[in-house]
Amino acid sequence: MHPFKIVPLAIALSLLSGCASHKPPPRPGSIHAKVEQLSEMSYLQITDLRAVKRNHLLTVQAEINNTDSDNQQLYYRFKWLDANGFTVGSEEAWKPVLVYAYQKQTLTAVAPSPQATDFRLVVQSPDNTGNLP
Amino acid sequence: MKALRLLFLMSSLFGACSAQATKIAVTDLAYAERVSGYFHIVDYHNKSSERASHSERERDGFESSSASSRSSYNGKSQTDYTEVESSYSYIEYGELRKFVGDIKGEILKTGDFKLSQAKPYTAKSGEQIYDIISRIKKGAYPGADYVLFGTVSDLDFRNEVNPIIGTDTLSSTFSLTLVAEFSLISTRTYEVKAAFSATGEGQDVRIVTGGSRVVPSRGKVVSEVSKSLGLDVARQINEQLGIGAYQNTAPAPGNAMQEGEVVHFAP
Repeated sequence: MHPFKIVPLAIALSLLSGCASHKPPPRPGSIHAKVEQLSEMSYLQITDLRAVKRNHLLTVQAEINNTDSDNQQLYYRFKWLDANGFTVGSEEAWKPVLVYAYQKQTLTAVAPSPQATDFRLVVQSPDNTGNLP
Repeated sequence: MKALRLLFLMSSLFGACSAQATKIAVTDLAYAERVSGYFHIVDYHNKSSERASHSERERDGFESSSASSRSSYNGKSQTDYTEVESSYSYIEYGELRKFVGDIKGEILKTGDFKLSQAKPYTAKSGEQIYDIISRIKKGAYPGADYVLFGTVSDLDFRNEVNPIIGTDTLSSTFSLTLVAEFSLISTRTYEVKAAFSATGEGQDVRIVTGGSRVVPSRGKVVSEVSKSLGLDVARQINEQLGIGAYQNTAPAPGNAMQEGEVVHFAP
């Protein structure tokens, strides 16, 4: 093939592959909109996520499901945001949780301040070798 | 030339119309409160006096001798005891000189109205505070086309301490809720153009551990109440007068999610 014909084809292919790998933004109000994964978790899934305001403080509960036959290590922390999207309080420490094989584990957290009206659950699992999101 | 003159007249008329925005006077929030009291007075007086005297006389002569003695005692004691016990109750009428600043601010922000200052109600007489027609006639709202007359329905301070589930900390909440009823009354026809009740809420929430003591910030709470009341009033005036969508629809701080409402995120 003529080299001048290959170049546009390569550009078109690269553009197409770029489009294919681009993920759509998570739906607002979905679990994915509230969860930040530092790597794609292969065996751990967040199957349930709910929030409630109690005593003017945001309380969040997440359910983690281990679909693997081995125990899985999970590290998580919450990021609390105010009505304008700014972080509230200092960064939380990472908290380790061991999720046993085929087990569901519940994580609960209470916002440090009533100014926190939104949150992000940041999770990472070192044993999982999934692709970066 | 004639057409030019007509154009000039019309433009000046329109200019005058736009300059004469509707003027509203916002009254201080009137309230009636039952004042109850109890008193118990004990009055005890004791007065006592004593007087004693003693005299002796002795005479010893050559042929005779005599001796006499005299003593007297006089005592008096008087006790008065009065005990009065009663309870009283009366209704106090007045105006809260608070919470209307932000109502005025929000009305001004809409850009559809001008404000004129109302004369405060300082008379001692009671229920006449609600006689808004009489107050309009007496000229308490100079220059106003409408009077926004507000009365306090309820004012509720709460101080609660609740445990935070899953932690060893407590949430100390100091909150104030003010509910007031408003009527927008024409000063010419006494027609009520809008009527509604509005709520102002404010709270100061602190997280405390057992044994520690926190002092809530009353100023912060009062400021939040005033701001949220102002927003609610301006929103409802706009709604009822059909002026259009109220721009400043930002919820009061911390009110984005209702207390106890569970938000379930879809997988």
